Amino acid sequence: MSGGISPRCRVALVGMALGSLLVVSCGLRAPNEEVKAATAAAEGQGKNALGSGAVAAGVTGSGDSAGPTSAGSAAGGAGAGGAATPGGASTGAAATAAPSGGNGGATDVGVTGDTITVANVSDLGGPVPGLFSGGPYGTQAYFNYINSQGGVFGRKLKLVTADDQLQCSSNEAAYSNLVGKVFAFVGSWSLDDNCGAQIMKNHPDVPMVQQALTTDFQNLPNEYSVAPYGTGAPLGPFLYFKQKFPDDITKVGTLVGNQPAAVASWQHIKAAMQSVGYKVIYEDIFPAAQTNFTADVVRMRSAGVQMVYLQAVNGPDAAFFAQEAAQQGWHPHVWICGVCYYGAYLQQSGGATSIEAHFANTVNGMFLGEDAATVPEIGLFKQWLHSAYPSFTPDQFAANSWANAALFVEALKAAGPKLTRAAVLAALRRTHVWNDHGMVAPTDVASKKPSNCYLLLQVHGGAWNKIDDPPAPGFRCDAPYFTGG
Amino acid sequence: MHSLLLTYTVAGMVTGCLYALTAAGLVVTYQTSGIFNFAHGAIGMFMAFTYWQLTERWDVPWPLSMLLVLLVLAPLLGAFVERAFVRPLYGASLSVTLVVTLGLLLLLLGVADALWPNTVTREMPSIFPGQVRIFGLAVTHYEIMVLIVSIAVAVGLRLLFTRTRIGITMRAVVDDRDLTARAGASPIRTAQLSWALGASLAALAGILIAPLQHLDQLNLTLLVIDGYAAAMVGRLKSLPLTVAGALLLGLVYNYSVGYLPNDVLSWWSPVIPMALLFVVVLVLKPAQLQRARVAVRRQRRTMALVPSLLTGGLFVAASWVISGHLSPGNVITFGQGLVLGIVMLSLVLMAGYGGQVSLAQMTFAGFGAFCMGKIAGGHSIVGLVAAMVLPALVGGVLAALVLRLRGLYLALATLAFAYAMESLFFNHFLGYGGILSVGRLGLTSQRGFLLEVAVIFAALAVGVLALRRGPFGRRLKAMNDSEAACASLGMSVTATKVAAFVIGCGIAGLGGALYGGWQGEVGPNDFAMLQSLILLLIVTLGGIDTVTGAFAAALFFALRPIIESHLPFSNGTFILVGLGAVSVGQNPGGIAGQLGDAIDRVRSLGHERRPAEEVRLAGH
Repeated sequence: MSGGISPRCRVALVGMALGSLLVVSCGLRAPNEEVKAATAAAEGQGKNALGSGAVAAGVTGSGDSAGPTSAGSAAGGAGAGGAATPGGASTGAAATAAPSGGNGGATDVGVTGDTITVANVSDLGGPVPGLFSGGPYGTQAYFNYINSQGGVFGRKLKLVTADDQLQCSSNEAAYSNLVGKVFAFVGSWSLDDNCGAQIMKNHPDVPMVQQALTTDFQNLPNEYSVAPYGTGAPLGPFLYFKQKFPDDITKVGTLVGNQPAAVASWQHIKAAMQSVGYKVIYEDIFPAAQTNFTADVVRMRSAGVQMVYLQAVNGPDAAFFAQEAAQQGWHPHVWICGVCYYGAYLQQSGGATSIEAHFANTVNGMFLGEDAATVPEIGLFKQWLHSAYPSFTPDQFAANSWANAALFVEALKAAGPKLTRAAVLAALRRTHVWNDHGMVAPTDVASKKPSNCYLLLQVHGGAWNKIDDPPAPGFRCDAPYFTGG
Repeated sequence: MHSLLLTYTVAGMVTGCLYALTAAGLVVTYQTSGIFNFAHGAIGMFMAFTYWQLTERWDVPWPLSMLLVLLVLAPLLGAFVERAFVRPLYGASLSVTLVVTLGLLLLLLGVADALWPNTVTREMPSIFPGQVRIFGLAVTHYEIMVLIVSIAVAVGLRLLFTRTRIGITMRAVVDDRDLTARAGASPIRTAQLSWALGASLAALAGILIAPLQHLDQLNLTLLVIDGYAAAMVGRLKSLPLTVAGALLLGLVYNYSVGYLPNDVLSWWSPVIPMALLFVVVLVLKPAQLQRARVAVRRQRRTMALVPSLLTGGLFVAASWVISGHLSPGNVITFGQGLVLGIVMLSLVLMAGYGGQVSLAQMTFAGFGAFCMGKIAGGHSIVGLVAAMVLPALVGGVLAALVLRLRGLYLALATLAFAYAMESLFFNHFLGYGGILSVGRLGLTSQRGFLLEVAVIFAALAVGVLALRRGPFGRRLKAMNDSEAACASLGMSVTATKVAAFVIGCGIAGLGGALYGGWQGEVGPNDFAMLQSLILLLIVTLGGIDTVTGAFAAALFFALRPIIESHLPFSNGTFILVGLGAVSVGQNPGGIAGQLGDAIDRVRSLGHERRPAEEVRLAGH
């Protein structure tokens, strides 16, 4: 019975999760040969940076972006990555059969000639049931896809799921019990992963490709993620809005869910905003069971708030707040919500007119499907997730875990048929460019630095649309990641 | 300025009506059964989801669905709850009634999750669209409807209980069940009707509030907690005062948001309902909660010193041996069960022996962990001593503040304290999202530290038993039986109560320090208010009035993940624990009590003597 139980709700746990996801980075300058390979892949000409025949993240050059990150033209790459691939297996997730000499059989823990067993430790039950169900769901969906192709070098992927029920000791126990039985950990989502880190720090040889939600876990040398955990925020969205709405950034209002992780996340984001001239003139840390945001709306209006920025709050609360603002006839000049790209937002916020022209910034592709035509990976994600879990509403956790699972599978392929943990870790250490074919923001996985890339979306006519101002067919990576907070 | 004030006033009234709806049902149930139903919100949540199922999945028109839920399904559920879980509780102690209703809460949460998994987004049907402007504030037709319904419910209930025979009978049953029966009324049928009505009110609140919040199981279940303050303003018997209290709460909240500076608002806003609850229970004169009734309770022998030392030694040895055969993960769970067992021992002392039900033990454990982690490097004897002393001092101060409170009022005051500390202390001093490293003193290896914890648990158990056998234990027992009698005999109830808190909270603090050391790190959520509720529930399941009960509870906790891994559905723990807790109504002594009864029966097989019985005044 311990850590991580938010006594009441999933309030800003989602906000914290998304806050974590926001802190991704386009990373460092890639080695020249990888840049060339990625460029070629982006143009549909060759293999990705891991050599598996798929389009990789679009790292096209070293001089396009502001700041120290060099993947500035990932927009071009990611978009090209999507467009250059005809869909289906050509997204590069094609399975590989066992070589003629066999795959070596049981080459490591959790590996046999037919299967690779990996584990997922996520918050699934306890006081907030289903909190991170998307973690194992997204992972399993991807494995189902791979297995449908025959697996990896003749081995099918098997997922063992453990529910830590938002309890520190259960998280520790799960890792402790599983580490000697499975090959790796993939796609996990847990607010108590700092507890599992106590166990896994003694097992640096075990690959972990999953979302870290604490610094302790992120700092483990064998932990990799498509969205490395960071204590900052990408500056790109803030610079964009500063440039578009220079007068409004000094009149920012926000709500923050009274949940430790959410408030911590907000402190980092606020520091990032303030570093580029934003001024928060109203913030309310509201109690978990809050039912009414009327007073906040009235107070924000009377305080002269012109820009609402919502990040450290859960989606439904953000939706209610938007609905309340619309009801009160208050329309601040700019409305930005980093947690609002999810399936029920339009419905929960009172309809399209309530949220017309609202912005969102996200580190995932448009996983609800708007992007499926240009990013086939998203179509695959939706198809296989629905196939495995028909009643599950896709969320950012599932999307992230799908991408982590894809990264893991690419590392498996790069490791070769004689599969070992060490070979997979070596492959991950060589992965400097990964965006899962446009599914997530391009990330330098090996550096473990949060990506500075992001997508900007805006609601028009009841639907989310990617902002094309300035034109950016994919992720924007035009500003550094702020770590000063 | 005036316009803003009016605007916040209207907003406060709307918020207040929501609180009034939740609190009114709570008061009705208490007024008509004498039981504070912690599961009131859970019943409302369950019925809200049932309403959703009818309207959104089975396409039943919403008016028909609402009538079906309010007039048929909810009353049936209430009557069933009364028959199955509540009936054995009449005359039971507060800790038992509290645990049974908490168990019902968990059971309903578990079942709701099984039926309506949270992986699917659900929305309530929208009714009465549109809005009007009142003093510049847009108020939706739906909110006005809620306002009208709240007032109508309050007025209707008032008339029911003061002007109708059935309402008066409902109240009479609580005052004097036997006399009511002699007057020709059926206490059982009346009680069932009361619970049916209470469930119906809970359902009404759940259905009306869900569209304004989220159709979320935990949110809706715990929303009622914010209404406790309103219920206390009415002293759990006056509906008009309850409504007034609810409106006050709504107004205070909205004025706070409207006028307080941001930096003050950030720490004050989350604790407003609980702060009001704390003030109300301290300031208002507690109403006569229920008339004492005579009940028969088995007297349990307290283990003598030598047997307790031997048992403690055996326990330590067994822990060492068992831990050698467990997987590393199960050692972790086993150890955690033991450290929590230490915190549970504190409850045995305070609540089991002394009748001082505290809903804040994990808060005191948290203070202990904080001291251990922050003082002298995180793994020093100074830190460990501080881990006992600081919580003990805080416990003593709290006891002094709540001296004149007892029973339910005391429990709610500690609940408010725990809730407030969540926001004011742990989130601030441990840091939002922060993690505090806590070290281990002495043996640092996993099995070594487990051995250390087992030794400390055994030593504390021996100590608690020694206290029980001694003069202090007799004073605690006497205080539990009747504070009035103790006072009339010249015993200092104040000193006894404060001492119980000081010792109990010190033990909890020690448990917290060891808990932190076991995990290596703690965060604010480790010591959230809900943790204390679950802790009390589990130790009562084990048997809150015996040290064996604390051990049984610790063992259950340690085995829980293993049990759950074999269940075919998620959240099986909630369902299991819920079922176990509601069974406490039939067996107030918990697992340890049943074991003790079985041993007594075996012993008496060859003898004619019956186990000693003691007539005591029940109630609180």
